[in-house]
This record gives sequence, structure tokens and C-alpha cells, in this order.
Amino acid sequence: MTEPATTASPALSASPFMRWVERCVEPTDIAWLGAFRILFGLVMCTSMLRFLAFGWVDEFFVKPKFHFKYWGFAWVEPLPAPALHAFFWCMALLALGIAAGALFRLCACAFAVGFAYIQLLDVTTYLNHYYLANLLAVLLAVSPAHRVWSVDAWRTRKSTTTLPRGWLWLFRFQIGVVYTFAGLAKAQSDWLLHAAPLRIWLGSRTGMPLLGPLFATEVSASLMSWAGFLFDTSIAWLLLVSRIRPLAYCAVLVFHAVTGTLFPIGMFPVIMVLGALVFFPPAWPVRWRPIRRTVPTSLPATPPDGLALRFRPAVVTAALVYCVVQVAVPLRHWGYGGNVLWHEQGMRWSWRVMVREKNGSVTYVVRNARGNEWFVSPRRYLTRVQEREMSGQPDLILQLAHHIRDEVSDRLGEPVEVRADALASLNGRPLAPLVDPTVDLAKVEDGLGKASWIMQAPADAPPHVHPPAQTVASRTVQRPADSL
Amino acid sequence: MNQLTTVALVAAGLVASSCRKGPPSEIVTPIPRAAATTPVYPIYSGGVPNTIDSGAGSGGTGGGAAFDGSAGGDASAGRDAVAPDVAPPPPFTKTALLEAIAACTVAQFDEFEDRARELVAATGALAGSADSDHLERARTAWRNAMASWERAELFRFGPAAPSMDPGGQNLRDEIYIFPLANSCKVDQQLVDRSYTNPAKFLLPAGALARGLTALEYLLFHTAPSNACSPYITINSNGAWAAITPELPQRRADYAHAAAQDVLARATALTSVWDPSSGAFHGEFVRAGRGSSVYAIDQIALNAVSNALLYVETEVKDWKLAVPLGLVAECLNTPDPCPDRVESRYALASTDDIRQNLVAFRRLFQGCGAANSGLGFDDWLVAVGASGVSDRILDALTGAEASVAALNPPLEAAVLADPARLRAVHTAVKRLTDILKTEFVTVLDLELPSATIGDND
Repeated sequence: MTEPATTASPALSASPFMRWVERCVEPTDIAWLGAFRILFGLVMCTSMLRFLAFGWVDEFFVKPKFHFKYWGFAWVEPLPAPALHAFFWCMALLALGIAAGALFRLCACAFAVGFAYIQLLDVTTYLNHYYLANLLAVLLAVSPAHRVWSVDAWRTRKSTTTLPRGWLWLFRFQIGVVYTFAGLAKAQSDWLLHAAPLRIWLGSRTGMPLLGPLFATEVSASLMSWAGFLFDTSIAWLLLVSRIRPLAYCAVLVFHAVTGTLFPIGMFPVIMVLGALVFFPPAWPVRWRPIRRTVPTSLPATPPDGLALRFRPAVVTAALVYCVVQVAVPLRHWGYGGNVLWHEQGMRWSWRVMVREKNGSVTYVVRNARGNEWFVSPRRYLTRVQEREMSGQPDLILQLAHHIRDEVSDRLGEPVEVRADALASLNGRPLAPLVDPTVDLAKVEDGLGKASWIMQAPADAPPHVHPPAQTVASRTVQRPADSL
Repeated sequence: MNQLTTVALVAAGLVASSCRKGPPSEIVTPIPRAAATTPVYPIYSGGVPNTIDSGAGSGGTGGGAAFDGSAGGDASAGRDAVAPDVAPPPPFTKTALLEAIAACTVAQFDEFEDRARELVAATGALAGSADSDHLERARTAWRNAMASWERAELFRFGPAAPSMDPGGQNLRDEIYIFPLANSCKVDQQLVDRSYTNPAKFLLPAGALARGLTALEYLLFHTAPSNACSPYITINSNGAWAAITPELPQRRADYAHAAAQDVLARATALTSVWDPSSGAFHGEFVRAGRGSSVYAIDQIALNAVSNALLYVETEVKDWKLAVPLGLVAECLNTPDPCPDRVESRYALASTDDIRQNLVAFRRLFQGCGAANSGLGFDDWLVAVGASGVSDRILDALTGAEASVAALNPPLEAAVLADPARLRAVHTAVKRLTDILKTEFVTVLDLELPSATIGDND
């Protein structure tokens, strides 16, 4: 049902908030959202199939004997292996349902919930672009994306050409937040002054075709660090400017093509290249063949989605709250102080994409009341992938410490102390204690407060590594046996 | 630091950062070593020990205890493998490093094949005449073969690696399956003489009762007892008691069959690594240049760096922490577990670790005389992380010294002087901590690519 905007009372319309609400529900072309829905569905389907094809379902969710949980979601457990495989196949089908717009609301909601379930299974599988995909899935699920170029629209004959402008702003905001905070995360001395960790990463990629020789130069890491910082912080704003938008989108394509080639970041470049399309004029898909349709020259004056007048303020307020949360969450690390790349409090859901190279070595020291002491290797519980992720993230070190406490206490029938000998190297710095080795982690509870049991980050600068030479003169290495 | 403030501060720093003086040329030459002046790689043969000066690396850790790579640990004091040539150290490139590692690997497996052949001869003689003299010779041959293999243990990449790794054919487990072993199965096969039937003896599941582990049990456990519980059939039905008079001969025959199998596996390894005909050698040295196994050179170097972590999993945890009773498996038996040492029958556990560290130094520092030649230390120096190289070599020297100070040997020290054995564990851990953190970080070394998913 569509209600005319003119039914708003003069008093309400006069308030700034309501005037803004009215602007949010002004109609705009729906084509952009239809195209986004189709492409997003196809990308997500591909993502689910990659999990199956690369064996990640087993590697990440079936093989581990222990799973790291998110606070409040310890109850989320992986399904048995066959059911989990079937689940991923279902997720791929749901993604196809999103793309086709068939039973869209059901498919999109189920996909968003299902994807969240996958994320909640194990913290060590957290990736920024999975989080983004989940947010986009949620936004799509509550949007009217199925009202154009969809099976649902064809079946119900309720295809529309417009939707409230607020949806466009919301999607642009979401993509803009990712880029901007990814840029701000690079505004720190390691990245900008020392070109770390790019200096390390590029140095190991000098053997790549075409780009490799460039990485062998001393300035490449610094230039690319600054280029990445400037790109991330500015690209969302540049995409908003119509005159330079095509050029800015070309920059998006080049940036993500390069990063996708250099780093194992999976679907992230594809998602961002797709996401950046929302900055184009909303009718962009219908200006391109072969899906050209008649662009409405005069858009209807009424909101097309039947948004009841009395619900508009509430819906817009909800969207505003969503936006505030999206800004506040990445900034929460300010409340902890220190180096977030070291203590990692405020690290997740903050779009700190590829800003650190961190490796750790963790051994748990378990002691009972009689002074008997055992060294417990995380390998006893974790896969190599889990161990590597855990060894640099203090909250995960604490979580495994609690698991060890519970298991050992049960076996011994007495309480035990659990300390962690946790050492880490951030961006190539000499290894340093990450967790206070004197603190009994068995007694420490995780929480949102500042963790006093996490050691201070090393104050020194990261090492100035540089790429080794790659070209090798033709020569023969004498076989050892020949020299006997 | 406030990010916006940082932006302002670092803007001025950009100029300084961009103007930093770079490396002088495309080719980075490692810091010359005082005693490393030749690219030749002499691998000593059994019974001819050499001494490796652990302080000779580019890391410049200075001095260090002489560390013996020979079987039995009886170094010829003061004798150093001084290189006769004066060729300058080769420039570092990843390709050159891969070639050096390949050459080192070939030499190591060639040497083990020779030792395995000697072991076949010695066990063959023992099978012909199962007397104490031949038994002692077979034991010596085993010690030499074992010392060589303990060095080869570090070379667990390519065909020696598990089949899930790039190029892996699981050949290592066919030769030495530590920490897994099944002495009871050996005894069962002594009864049913399945070692005389290759179709049965060589089944994949039988690896637990073959290889160097089974050979140690057969050659050094001469008591008439067996490793099976009284409820196992060979004991409950009297079959074991029935063959007791034949035990020396059966053990000798079994040992000969097992040694022949070890030699066959060793030959398979040397074949695939043969530079002239072996398929894998080409794949390894051509990593990133048309190799079907290693798409880029970094993946091949990842494989080697993962092999270096043998000192973490096997040496620190299995060979030291388990006998010391430090691991969670020993929760209910907090006392040391002397029966969990690596070579409990041959009492060679100290030398096993010593040889592991010898091989670690060769892979890390270089395989030539006095550890000349390219190694990971040169890579670290080439990327400007000589400090990491120094710390690793320093930790390695400390680990070697702690092993050298292990007197009585490990099997006795577990009970008599656990503190000293604990010191070895601590020293090895110091080495592995650096490997797992700084080393893999500055060289951007990763887990095997097959097991990692997407990143951010």
C-alpha cells in the first residue's frame, strides 16, 4: 500500500528530523539495488562453493576439536560433518535465491542468519570481508531488493521502478564506512613511517611476474603504504563526486586487482568492487545494455514501497542507530588506549584490513597445588590455522586457558593454575611477551574492560627490512657428494 | 596514538621514509663469514666425524661450542673442516637458496642411502650368523644409519613429507615413524614370520613395525621378553614361548628384511632427488619458474621453513617434554617417563637430538664446510634482518651447548638429573620461540597454502 507523502501533518513536516525523514523516503530508481542483489547473490554463492571446494568446511569447522567462541555465543556449535556440508550447499542455494529474487525475503533472511551462524562457529575464522558480507546480507534482507528483476516481482506482478532514497544512502554509508575506517586504521606510524607490514609482504613477492621487480625497489613499500592509506581514506568521498566518479571507480578496480593478486584475500576484492557500484547514479544498470529499460523520466511523487507514514520515523531512526553503531564500533579501541594491533581489544569489526603481520608462540604452564607443573601445547587442541590465529590474539589465549583449566581440573580432580608463556612478534619486531606470564589466567574473566593481563606493546620501531634480490646469475651449486 | 594526530605527524615523515637509502644493488651480498669461504659441502661418512664450529655463521654470534655431527658424539677435538678454497660466498637470491637447499638435501639422502646399504650388509651378515660379534657390527651400522637419518629428519619436505604437503609422498614415515611405533606388532611378526612375506610385510599399515624404529628394537632388545601384554594371543596361546629358542635368528632375519626395506625407501628418496634424473629435484629448484609443485619460490621456502620446525614439535615436545613428563599426556603420572625417550633400547637419544641440531644448522646456516654456503641466515641478512639471524644462531648455540652438557645421557638424565634435561628443553624452546615469531614474520613465511583460507 502506498501512502501519499502529503498526508504528513504540517507540524511534523516542519521539524528538521521529519524533513530529513521525508528526504529519505523520496523515491529514487531501484535499478541499482536490483543489480546489487543479483551480483551479491552470485558472489555469495561462489563464496559458499569455495568453502566446499577448498575443503574449508572440514578444515575450519569439522577438524578442530576445540572452537573459539564469541562472548555470549558459546552455545553455537558446528553441525555434524555431513549436515555441515549440506548446510553449505543450502547456503549456496539460498544465495542463488537472492540473486534470482525467488522467495527473496525468506532466502535473504535465512542466508543472513546462516552466514552469521558460520561466523559464530569459530572466532579464528573471522575475516573483515565475511563481516561485511553478513552486514550487506542483513541490509538486503530488509530491503525491497526483490521488487525489480526478480522471480518474485515477475510472479506477483509487483515490479516497481523506485524505492526510497534512504536505501541508497544506507548502502553507500556501509561501503564508505569500510573504506574510511580501513584507511584510518593505516594512520599509524608502523604503516606510514615504516611501511610495515607491506615492506615484509612485498619483499616476499619479488618473484611475481610483472609486479615482482617493482617490489624489489626500496621505495615501493613506502609508496604503496601511502597509496593504500590515501586510497582507503578518500575513495568513498571521491566516488560521491559525479565528475570524477568513473576515474575513482577505475582506481577501485586497479586497487583491488592489485591487492587481490598480491594477497590471499579471497572474495574481498570482488565484494568491494561490487560494493563500490552503489556510488554510481541509482539508474546506472539501466543505462547499460543489455538490461536497458525505460528510465522513468518523472518518478512518482509518492514512496513506492508502501512505507506507512507513522512507521517512517521509526524506520529512519533504526537506520540512524545502525549507522551510529557502525561508526562507534570501529572507534571503541580508543577506550582501551595502547596499540590495538598488539592488545587487539577493539580489533574485530573495525575494518583493520591487512594492517599487521603478527606471529606468536604460546605454551601454557599448568600447575597444581602440590607444585607439579606441565607444559600444554595449544597444538593439543588446535589446528595449525587456529593456533596461528590464537597465538596473536590475547582474548583467544585466555579462552583456551579456561578450556585447559576446566579439562585439567576435571582430570586431576583439583583446581589448577594456568599461565601462558605467550610471545609475539608484531610487524617483525623482536619477540616480546604478549600476556603477563605471572598472571593465573584460570582466575581471569574475559570482558569488555581493559585487560590488565595483556602486556604493553613494544615501543621500538619495526625492523627496516627490504626485499632481497630476485634475479640470479646462472651458476651451478656444487653437489656436496661431489666434493667428498 | 590518536590516528588523526598521527596523520599530521607522519606527513612530514613521508619524505624521510621515501629518502631512506636503499640497498646498493639488485644483488644483495651476505656479510662474508670468517670461516665460510667455499661453496663445497663435505658431508662426512660414517665413522669419520667432523666438527662444526657453531659460531661461524653470518649472524656473528661469536664462538660457541664445537658441535659434533658424528654418530656417537665422539668428535675429534680441534679438527675443523676448514675450507681449502677461497671462492667468495655466493650472492643471495631465493633461487640460489633453493639450489643450495636442494644440494644439501641430495647430499644428506645420498649419505643415508650409503648408511642404509651398510646396514643391510651388516644385518645380512647377522642373519647368516647370529652371534654377538655380528650383532655388535649390526648395532654399529644401525647407530651410523640412525645418526644420518636424524640429520635427514630435518629435510622433511617434498617426497619425505606427508602426502598432504606439496610433493609429499610420505616416504619419511616409511623409514622412521617416530614418535609412533609398535614393538608388540614386531613381536607378533616375529612369531608369524610375516617379515618373510613381502606382500604382507610391506603393507602400508605395517610401517609401525618396520623402519629404523623396529630395527632398534630387534637389534638392541635381546631379552627373551616381548612388548605385548599377557592377554595378546602370542602370549596367551604360548606361541611366543615356543619360539624363544629361535629368537636370535628370527630377530636377525627380521632385522635384515627391515633393513632391506629401509634401503629401498632410501633409494626411492635419492631417486626423486637425483639432480640428473629425479623428477622432484627439478620441481624444487624451479619453484616459481615453471614448477608444477611450487607455483612460486616462497611456497617451496615455506615448506623448508616448516621442516625447520621439527625442532619444535619433535625435538622439544616429543623428545624432551614427553620423557620429562611435562606434557598434558602425563597429567596423571607427573613423574618423568623414561620409557618415552626416543631410542630407549640403543640409548642413543642424546645423539638423536644432537644430530637434529646439526641438520638444523646446516639448513639454516649453510651446508658447506663450517656451515658455509647459503642458508636462511643469508636470507635474513639480505632482507636487513640480521638481528633475527643473530638471535636464532645464538639460541641454536645455546641449545647445542645444553645438549653437549647432557651428562649422563638423556635416558639416565630423565631420572638422575631432570633439571639438566629441563635446561635442554628451555634452550630448544628459546630457539623455537624465535622461529615461530620473528623468523616467520620478517620472511613472510606461511603455513602450507593448502591449509590456509582467505585473509582479511
